[in-house]
Amino acid sequence: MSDIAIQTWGLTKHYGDVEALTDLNLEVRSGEIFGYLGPNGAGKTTTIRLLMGLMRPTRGRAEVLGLDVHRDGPTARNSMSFLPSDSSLYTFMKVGQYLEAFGNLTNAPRKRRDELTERLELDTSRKIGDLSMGNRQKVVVVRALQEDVPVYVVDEPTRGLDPLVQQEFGKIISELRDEGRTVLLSTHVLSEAEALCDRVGILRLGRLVQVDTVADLSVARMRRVTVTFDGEAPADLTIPGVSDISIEDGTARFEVSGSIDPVIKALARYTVVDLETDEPSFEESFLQHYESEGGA
Amino acid sequence: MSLSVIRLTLRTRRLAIFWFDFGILALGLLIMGLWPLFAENWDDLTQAMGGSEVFGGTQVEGASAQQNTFYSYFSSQYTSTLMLVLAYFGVWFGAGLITRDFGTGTLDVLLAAPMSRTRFLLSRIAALLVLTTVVVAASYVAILVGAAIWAREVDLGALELLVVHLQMLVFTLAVAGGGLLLATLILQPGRTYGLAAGIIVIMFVLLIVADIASNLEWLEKISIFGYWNPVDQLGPGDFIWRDTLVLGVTALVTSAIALVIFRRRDIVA
Repeated sequence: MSDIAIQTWGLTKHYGDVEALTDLNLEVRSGEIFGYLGPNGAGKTTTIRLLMGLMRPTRGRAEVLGLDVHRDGPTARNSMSFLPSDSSLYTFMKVGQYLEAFGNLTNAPRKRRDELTERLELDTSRKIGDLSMGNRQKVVVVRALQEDVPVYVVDEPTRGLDPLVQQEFGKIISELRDEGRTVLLSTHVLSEAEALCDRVGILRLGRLVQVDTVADLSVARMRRVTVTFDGEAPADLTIPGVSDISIEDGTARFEVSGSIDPVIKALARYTVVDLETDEPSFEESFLQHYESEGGA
Repeated sequence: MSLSVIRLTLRTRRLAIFWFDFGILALGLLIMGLWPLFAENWDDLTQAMGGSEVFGGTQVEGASAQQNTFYSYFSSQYTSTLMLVLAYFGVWFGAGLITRDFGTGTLDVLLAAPMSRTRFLLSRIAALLVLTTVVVAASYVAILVGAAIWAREVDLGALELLVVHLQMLVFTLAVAGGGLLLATLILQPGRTYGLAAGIIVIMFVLLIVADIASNLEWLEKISIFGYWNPVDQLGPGDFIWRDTLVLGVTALVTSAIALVIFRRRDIVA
């Protein structure tokens, strides 16, 4: 198998005057989970639609396992499974009928379908239209992951899933990686990328601004922390690596980049009643970081 | 062609087709069942309504007076209604062949399967052919059974009726081809159905205008309804190839253009 599962060269897509994606040069290695990160409208879905042959590039090209996704479209897609971000269901069908019908299109093995429905606790006898949003998303996930292929392209897969199912989804994705399969996971949820991915690419305004390992991603990640002390907050509170610190009565608020460990160690000297961390939006946490580094 | 795509397409339309068939079967049997009553009171009825024109006034060359009476009845009470039903079916199914899946988001998943767009659309067109045949066959069965029970004296041949329904089939495919062409251009279901229905209504109005104004008879030729003449096929004359050929070519050309457009166009979310 090729070392590179997905590769693009100057992949560009314009919608009229709008540059949705510009000169994307991307390499996703075989056997890794690659997080494709970016805020809404960054160009993630455009990239995926170009890879799946749903759109033609304005210029540039893309290959999956050495096959051009446009010139060798059907053959390239024979190695890929696609989980789109939008709901893609026939609501009048029963879950089992739907999974079987779409499984037949790609010769998905029944055994794998049964395993996945069991693990995600999906009732195949129910009509899709009667399911909750979360259960509908489970159907979409099983439909995509039932296929036995080397490359999975998944766009916002955990939207609407409850935390336990998200966890199970994470396990399934990790198992796919352990089996040597490649996953391109598009998301705007940083914690999801941190938990699942080996490497991440960060996209902004249609341009790839950074490709990092997850360890680097954690360093760049910013959190808002609110600490409530027992009594007045110490006036001499000094914590390495924090910014925008403000103290009011018994509460200190600040932002921290990267590991939260120094914060915990610094706070250990005081009596802390409550500690809250809050993840800022993608735009706030990451892109500011890369802008300040001149990456954008 | 992909059997999986054909099967999936048939499966997702089977309930609607069942009701379409049920309706057409019921309509056909009802019209045939009422024929003896109309035949018995034909003169009184036509007189009361202001002449046989009201009931179509069909005069097929070489047909007996009784046959022409039946053709008039059949034309005014059945085929003129069926023309609109089949046009609606053609718009609904032809335009929906692509737009319906675009609307539900399933088109993305279908096109992500390892098959070319040409193969996908040809499979969909094959499903269209099957479903249209099933719908038109319902009419054929209804009239055949109805004729055997209530119109034995008219001498309706199974072969003549088959030819009538062959033209109905090609007519429906021509409308569906137009709907499919619009669908590949527009993709959004609401706009496609709306535009296709609008064009059909305009064509129907053109037919009426051509019927009323003798100097505008040529309008009939630019309306698809101008090529709908199933009752004329019932007479002992030859099959009217020209009109069916025009409908057939329309179906083929619109489908071919749709295929060319669909192969190249972006499917934007």
